[in-house]
Amino acid sequence: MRKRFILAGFILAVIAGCSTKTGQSYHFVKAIGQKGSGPAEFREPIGMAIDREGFLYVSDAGNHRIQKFSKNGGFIKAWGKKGSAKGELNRPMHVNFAPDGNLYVAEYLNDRVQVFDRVGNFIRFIGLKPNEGSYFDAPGGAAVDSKGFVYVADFYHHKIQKFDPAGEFLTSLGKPGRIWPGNLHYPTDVEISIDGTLLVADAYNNRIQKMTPDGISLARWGGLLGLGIPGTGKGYFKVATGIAQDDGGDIYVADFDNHRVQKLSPKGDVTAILKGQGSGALKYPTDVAVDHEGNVWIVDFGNNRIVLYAKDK
Amino acid sequence: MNRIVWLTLIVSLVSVMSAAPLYAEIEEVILGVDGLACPFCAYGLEKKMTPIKGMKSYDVDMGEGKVYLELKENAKLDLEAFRKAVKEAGFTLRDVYVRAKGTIEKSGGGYALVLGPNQERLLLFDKEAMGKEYHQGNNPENLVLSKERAGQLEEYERNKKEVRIEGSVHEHQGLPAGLAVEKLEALG
Repeated sequence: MRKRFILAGFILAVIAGCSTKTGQSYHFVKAIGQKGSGPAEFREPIGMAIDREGFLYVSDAGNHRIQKFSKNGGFIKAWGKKGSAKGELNRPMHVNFAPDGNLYVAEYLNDRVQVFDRVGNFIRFIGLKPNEGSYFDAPGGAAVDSKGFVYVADFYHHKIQKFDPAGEFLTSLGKPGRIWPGNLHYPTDVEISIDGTLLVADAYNNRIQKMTPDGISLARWGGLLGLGIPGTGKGYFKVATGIAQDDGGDIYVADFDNHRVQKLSPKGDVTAILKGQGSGALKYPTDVAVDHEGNVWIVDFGNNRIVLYAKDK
Repeated sequence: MNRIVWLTLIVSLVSVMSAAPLYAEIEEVILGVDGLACPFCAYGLEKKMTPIKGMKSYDVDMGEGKVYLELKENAKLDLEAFRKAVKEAGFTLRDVYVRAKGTIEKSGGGYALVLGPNQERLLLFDKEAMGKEYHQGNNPENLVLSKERAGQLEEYERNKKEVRIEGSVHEHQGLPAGLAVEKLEALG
């Protein structure tokens, strides 16, 4: 009898995963950009961040630059070119604002994080060792908490690297592996949650992990029991590449191979799925950013553009 | 007399400079790579490949799973380095396609494109001519040319014609690699 209950519970969990019905819905508003290297054109855009005033910053990885837009998507400026000197970039990935208003850009091929002010002036590097080399092997994204500690998703090391406010290396969080809490498999992004914990895009474990600032895994969301089984149903991911959080604490996850964004409550329940249709359909989204009005900007990597979704009333 | 000597020297120098190159120039290498599913993956492969000696440029088409390499002049076609880099990045090298410019030489019972001063060479063959007998494990010494292709190569070899040649590389452990010819044209 007990075995039947367990089996029934398992089957119900799987069926729940297959469903895509949710409470909240969104509609496509507009798209900005097309493939190219001119203003408001992109070649492989990866990450996006929104500053306190609502300006949008997009990492244009194929063009090795950052592009800045107004809150309505009007092009303002771009900075960066391929290289390794100050101000130069090599495959900029996820971008994020620190509490002090500076922009942290993870540079995948320069193995560093480069920090800029909001108009593109160089501030400093994070992650380079004193004599030579780097703490990173392909950093995907960085985040800064309220105390100034810097956390970096280190793709090939399968860890989150932690630095003090001065940029000195402190420790590694997480370890390479699948399934178990605290294991990471090619993490691509990290965000600071409004409660001070870390949200990690554990990309190739197909899940999000919530961790303490010391690396203790508090929760895992993605598939059955957060084990990271890939899938197409609600709450399942197929390569979770980017994370954002709105002012209310809801979490948005770029579900890359499923061509959608999933919105989760702070407890990890899926409350909306954004994927669009027709000209608004997403194609390999890599990142999400939410403005202060709750509008959702998505980096639509496969279409070389950024798109805006708004809540249905 | 001095004028004749000088003239002879100049003519010789010009002849040497305009002669067909001794070794093939690899114009482009296209790698077929399985698993290039996302930009993090594709850039990871770029990270492993750009330090390879002789690499000039790298581009990738993620949708098609193809990596386009341009090599520096006189760079070696280092298949082992490509394979190692692809593996270290976490992917599988599916196939290698090459476009090169050079001259043809006789090799054993067939013909080869000579790649470098250490006599690295690609033995030339026709996949269609082998039909069912072709597979990746074929001993390159058993690779076959069609009659028509053999005639073309014989003529180019005899006249020391510079050619542009394209095809997919066939490897057999411990033996020279082969090139399944898909395009062949004489230059000049």
